[in-house]
Amino acid sequence: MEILYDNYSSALYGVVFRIVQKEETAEDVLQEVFLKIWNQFKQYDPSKGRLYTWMMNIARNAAIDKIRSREFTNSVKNQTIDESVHNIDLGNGSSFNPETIGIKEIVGKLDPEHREIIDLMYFKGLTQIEVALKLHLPLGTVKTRSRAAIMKLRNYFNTTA
Amino acid sequence: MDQKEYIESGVLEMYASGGLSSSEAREVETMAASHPEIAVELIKISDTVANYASAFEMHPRPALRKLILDQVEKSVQAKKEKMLELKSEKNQSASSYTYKYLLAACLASLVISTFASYFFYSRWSESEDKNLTLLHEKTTLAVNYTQVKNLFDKTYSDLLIMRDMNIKMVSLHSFDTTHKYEARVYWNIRTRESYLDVLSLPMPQAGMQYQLWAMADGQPVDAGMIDMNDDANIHRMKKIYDADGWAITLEPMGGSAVPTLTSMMLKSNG
Repeated sequence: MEILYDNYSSALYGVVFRIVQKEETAEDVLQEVFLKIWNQFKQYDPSKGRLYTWMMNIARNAAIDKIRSREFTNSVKNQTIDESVHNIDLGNGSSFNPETIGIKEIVGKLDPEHREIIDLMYFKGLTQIEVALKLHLPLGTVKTRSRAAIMKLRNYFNTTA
Repeated sequence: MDQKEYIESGVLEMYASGGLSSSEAREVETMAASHPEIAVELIKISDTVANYASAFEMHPRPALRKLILDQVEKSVQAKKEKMLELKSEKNQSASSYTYKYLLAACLASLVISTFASYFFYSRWSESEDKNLTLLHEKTTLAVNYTQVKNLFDKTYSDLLIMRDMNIKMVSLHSFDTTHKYEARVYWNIRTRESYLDVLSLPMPQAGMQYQLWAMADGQPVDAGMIDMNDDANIHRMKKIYDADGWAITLEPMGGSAVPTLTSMMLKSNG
């Protein structure tokens, strides 16, 4: 468990924090995430993907569940999505690990309008339809853009790996 | 829709980014489960999204490390304890089952042994009754046997006396020929023992007794008193050394030194 924590806590915490936007809540959720990882470890099926991806999904889903719970929504309801995304992008830059792939490097690889779609779904928990409504785009465009974005990312990771 | 088209539709990217509703997500999972090509593609896309997300990594406060690891450790301990509790509960219930079975077995054997006791008791009293009957029969038989044995012994000894080669038998007849009284004398000429077999004589009146006499050269010799109450067939009399005739007279109780000739009952022919 210590090895898991030391290797993955930063990545998991990063996702959780980006979703819940509050340090205190992010710490609570991270604790839940590690308990879940520990308790559900037997359910992890290597044939269905990497352990890392499995853990990231647990963290992402736990965080999304948290922001969807009423308690949390009430406390941050005054913050709009645009504001919070903006806050993250500008602030707390010193918290990121400079040794890993920098956020700016990845951002540079993606068109901002593509990245926005992925972030709304992944970090805000919106469905594709909600994204389409929010951005006033047809659903087909949402799909095409996110596919294009991920294709680009795949190429990027394959070349850097 | 073929697999390629499905992959190109962008739905897998939606799934990996978390943009699908739960029912849409389940559809994707079903497709991936039955189409290996889609499954492989989905894994690749999911990994890409996870990699992308990891670009936003942040170090949590160092203090959080111990907090979380302790929490996990606690939950592990709690789980272990729960397992142990469950185990011991299981054991307990198992042992209480064992006790229940033992109790049932005890009760069953009690009932069986009660029936068995009653059965054997009744058999025993039957046997006791039979035994008493048999014991009674045995006593009766023993008494009968003793009687028969005694009779046989007497008869046998009488027979031995009569069959002796040295025995001389003398018949005595009524002196008064109007009566048909009779007796026999067996006299062993080697041992000199004399025996009397009273064949028929009336019971003497009270205070009187028959007396046997041996006659030698006309002189009577006392051969003994006859006990008519003795039920022996052959009465052992006195030793007689010489005799050429025998007579029985009726004498006062205890006998006389000289026979009362007027009361002669029987005499031998000699």
